Amino acid sequence: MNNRMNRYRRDNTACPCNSAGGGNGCAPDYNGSAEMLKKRLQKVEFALVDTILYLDAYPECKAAMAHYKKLLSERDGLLAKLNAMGVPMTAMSNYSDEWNWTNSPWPWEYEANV
Amino acid sequence: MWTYDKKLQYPVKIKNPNPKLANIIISQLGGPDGELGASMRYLHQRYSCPYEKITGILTDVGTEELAHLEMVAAIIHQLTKNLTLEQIDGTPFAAYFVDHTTGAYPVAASGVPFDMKYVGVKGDILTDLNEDLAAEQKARTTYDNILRLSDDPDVNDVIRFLREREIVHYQRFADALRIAQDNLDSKNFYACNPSFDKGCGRKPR
Repeated sequence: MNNRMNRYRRDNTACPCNSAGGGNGCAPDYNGSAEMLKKRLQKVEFALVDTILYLDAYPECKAAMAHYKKLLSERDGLLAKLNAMGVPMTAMSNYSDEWNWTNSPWPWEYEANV
Repeated sequence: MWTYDKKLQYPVKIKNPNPKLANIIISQLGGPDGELGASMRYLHQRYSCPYEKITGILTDVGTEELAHLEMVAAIIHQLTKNLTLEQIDGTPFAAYFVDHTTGAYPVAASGVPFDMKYVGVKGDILTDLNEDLAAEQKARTTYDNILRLSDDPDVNDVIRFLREREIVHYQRFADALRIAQDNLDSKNFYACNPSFDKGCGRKPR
C-alpha cells in the first residue's frame, strides 16, 4: 500500500458524505442533472484509471482491489442514471429511442467543460 | 476519452507463419494508406468539424480504424510467431528483422517508417471529407493488392473483411459530404469555409 492508495482511501472511502454532497470528492446526489452526473463520472473514472494502473502492477493488493470495486460500483450507478436519462456516454449505450450520440457539445468544446 | 475493449473486431487465426507476407501486410500498419494514418486523419479532423452529425461519423470511423490497426498488428504477430532464422534469412523480412526483430513497428512495405505526412487535416470540412473519400479508396486498393500477392486463406479472410470496411466507410463519408452540402448554398458550396468563416452556410429562405 503506497501513499497514493492511502490518499484514495482518505478521499473516497473515509469521506463523510451526506445526501447533498458532491463538492469535496463526495458522491453527489444521484438525482442531479446530466452535467452534474457527468462531472462526478469524470472524477470516478479517473480514479478508476489510476487504480487500474496500480492493479496491473500489484494484482495481489487486496485494498486496491476493494477500492477498485467500490469505484466500479459508483460508476455503474452513474452510468445507469445517465442511460435512463437518454445521455449516451458511448456509441454503444444510446438506450433512448432518439439518436442522441452525436448531440453537441462534443467533449473538446468549452461548453462541455463548464 | 477512450477505454480498451479486450477483443478484436473480427477474429484473426493464422495457422502458418509467413515472413514474406508479413513484410507486405505491414504497409497497412504504418504505410501511406494504412490504419494508423486513417485513425489519426479522422480523429484529428474532428476538432474543426462544424456539423455534429459529421463529428460523430469522424469519431466513430476513427475509432473503428484503431480497431483495424490492432487487427493488422494481430496478422503481423501471427505471421511472424515462432519463426526460425532459416525461415527469415533470405526473405524480404530479414531487413525488417534486423531493426525490429518480430516486434510490430508501423512502417510501409517499402521500409519507410510511419509519417504524419500521409495525413491531411485542412480545417475545411469539404476539403477534409474529399481527402477521406480518397483515403478509403487508396486503402481499398492496397487491400486488393495484398489479395493479389497472398494465397493464404486464413489471411485473406481477414483482409477481405478489412477491404469491405473501407467501402462502407467510403459510403458513410459520401453521406457526410452530402450533410455538409445540405448546410451550404447549393449555388456555390465553396463560397466560404464552413469550418472557419462565421455565418457560412445556406441563406434563410
